[in-house]
Amino acid sequence: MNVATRLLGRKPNSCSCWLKCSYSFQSITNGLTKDSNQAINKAVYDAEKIVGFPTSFLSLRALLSNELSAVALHLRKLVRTNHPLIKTARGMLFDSKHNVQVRGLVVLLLSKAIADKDGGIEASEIYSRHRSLAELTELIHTAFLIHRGLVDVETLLKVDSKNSRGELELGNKMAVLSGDFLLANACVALSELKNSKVVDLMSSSISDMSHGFFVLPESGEFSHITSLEDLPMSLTQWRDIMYLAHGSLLSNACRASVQLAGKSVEYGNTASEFGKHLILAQLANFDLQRVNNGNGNNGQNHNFLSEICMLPVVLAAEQNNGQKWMEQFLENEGNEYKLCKDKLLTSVKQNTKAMEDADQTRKCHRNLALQSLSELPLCEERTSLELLTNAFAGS
Amino acid sequence: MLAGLSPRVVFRPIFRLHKCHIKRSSEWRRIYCFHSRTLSQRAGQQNATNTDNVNLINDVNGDLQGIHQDINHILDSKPGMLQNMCCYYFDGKGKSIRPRIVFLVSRAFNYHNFSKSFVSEDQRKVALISEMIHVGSLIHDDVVDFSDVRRGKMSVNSICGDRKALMAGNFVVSNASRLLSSIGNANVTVTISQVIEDIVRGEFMQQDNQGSFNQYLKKTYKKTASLVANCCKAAVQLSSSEAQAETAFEFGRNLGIAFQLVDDLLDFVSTSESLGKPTAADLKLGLATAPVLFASEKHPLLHDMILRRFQHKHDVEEALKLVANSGAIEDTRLLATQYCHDAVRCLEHLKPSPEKDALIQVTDLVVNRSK
Repeated sequence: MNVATRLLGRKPNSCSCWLKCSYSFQSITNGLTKDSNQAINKAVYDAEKIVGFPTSFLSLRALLSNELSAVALHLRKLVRTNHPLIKTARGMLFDSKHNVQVRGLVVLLLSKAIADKDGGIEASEIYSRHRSLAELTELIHTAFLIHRGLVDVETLLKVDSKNSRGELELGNKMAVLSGDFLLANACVALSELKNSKVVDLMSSSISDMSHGFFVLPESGEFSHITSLEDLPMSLTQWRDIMYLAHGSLLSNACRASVQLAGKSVEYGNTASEFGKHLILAQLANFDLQRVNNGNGNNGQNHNFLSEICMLPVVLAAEQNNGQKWMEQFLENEGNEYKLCKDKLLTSVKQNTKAMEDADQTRKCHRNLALQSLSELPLCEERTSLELLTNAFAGS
Repeated sequence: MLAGLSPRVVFRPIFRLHKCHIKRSSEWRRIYCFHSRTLSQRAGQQNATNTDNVNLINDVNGDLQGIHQDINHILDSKPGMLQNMCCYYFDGKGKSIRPRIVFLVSRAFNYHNFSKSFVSEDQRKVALISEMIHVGSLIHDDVVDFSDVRRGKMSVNSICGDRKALMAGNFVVSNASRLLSSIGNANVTVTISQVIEDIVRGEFMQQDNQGSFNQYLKKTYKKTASLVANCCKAAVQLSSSEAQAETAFEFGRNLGIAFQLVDDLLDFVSTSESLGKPTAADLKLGLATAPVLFASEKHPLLHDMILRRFQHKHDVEEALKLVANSGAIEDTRLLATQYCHDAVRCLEHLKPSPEKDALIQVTDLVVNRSK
């Protein structure tokens, strides 16, 4: 509680209200129905029992540093504003049970599943190096969540005069510094694994993510898009760009976990495929639910990319010759376009073909993920990974 | 629970004392107290006669050839904008001082050990990495400082927005890290990864300006000198003993701190055309650098200005005037000269070679540059 209140800059007595509001925040976060939320909770709970410790606080060591407590102090000044950094900080502590730290959990389960079971107790334990790998995977993920939360100060000032430039700029500054800090921690942890191949794998995932999030627009209350050129307009493009932005981290972490365990390259390929397809299936699932719930994700969370990149939208665009069709949902504002979310969502929701194709894509990636898992030895970790896959990708 | 404490007290990060980076504090005081007028005059004269640019260090071995093309090749990615932004600063127009130093250190130590001047493929990679980490950190720095101009052109964040600039910076550093992994030496990987952590910690320290010289020197080590020091160390680690690598580290550390001291000094004396960035930029950002800290010894008035980060009206102009009237510029140059002497001393045991001479020349140019 101490940590939580420090990080959020709140006095303890107001904590219950924070918990309450973070609870409602949670349900919006996932954009998921209550059922699927329960399925995820259950799968994560069971998985943590197998791993042997709660993974929600994998990145706690970095959070407790002097640097970040200094950031926390500044964050208090920002509580009044709607800077996304506040939401990320809150999510790191209260929302962490769900999709935030699941990457670390998957890495740990996989590590345990591939460990030699006959090598005595020690061999079946999760090695500290694997734990370190899980930790740094989470650090990288969180760092990017924070970096992605940088706001465009000029746009926000134009939209709402209540916003103060000083506060928004302070928020951005803190976001850059704390994201960099987490990445630097990940970097040092990575070097301490003393395995060049693993350094290469994880560095390329950072490079892929930078690439992906450079191109893709963020979701937010006021999403402005500068150009349609690099945005995905077909299923293949969607797969490629989402792999870079979201899939690469888990995919490379899974391969690195096999590398650390000293298993064969083919095994590594299977693990990497699993990571990739799990994330793509999860994204497809979330995108479908976002369209179905009509939840425009109005700036509540920047875990998502702008509506224009949602799978059903991209599929609808592919049916209708892409760019031309997309332009009808954009309002030209000087050098930028403003997206008419409601019009877009309604149109896509009525497009049964696009919705069905999106569901097919979701199932296809889920099945590919499960297929990769079937190559693992039969064990409780594998079962747990299967449950997690079904919970995240929807059955 | 923290509400009762003043922000300044809590915000001060409690850093572990790093072994050698702070013993300087007594040293600078010694110099400060004992420095004679003649010494500082000599430093001033040297400055007037020697207007050499760091660019003039002879690249006799042609090591620098193609490094920017190679970096651009490493950063090659499909979409136009990211590629453009990442390669934006690798245009060969920068001073490339870090790769220069890494090349010279590699050659000088290789000559000492093998009586042959050469740069191995892996040492060349360290040189590339040093430049890439440097540029990556510049891109992030500009976002933090809301800078619009860098090296005489528009900064990345002013062209494509803060968030994209951040991603471009991450892209450059992560590719440096991939290049590092291709060297395949675990010790070198640890050495260089430390740099990244130091730079970030240094940036945090800079945000928390206390007005103490001690902290300033620590910050300077982390933010600037660590990159030079650890890259020199890594280059020597690749071909020689750990003891020699430590010597190279010390050389780089001293040179790096001297380099930053002169940089801070130039912020007070040079005009915006020659530096490519506005003068007194540090003051405007609320940062207290060596000249201000020296001047505050004579003008206690500056202490208050430092603590309020020069936010009041006319603070910047007033501080500029006080610095100019206190001999703080000369003091700073003198301190930089001392660091350079220490750097040269680290090279003493090396066999004479053209590269060793060039390194000594570098230390001289670092202090007496005007850009």
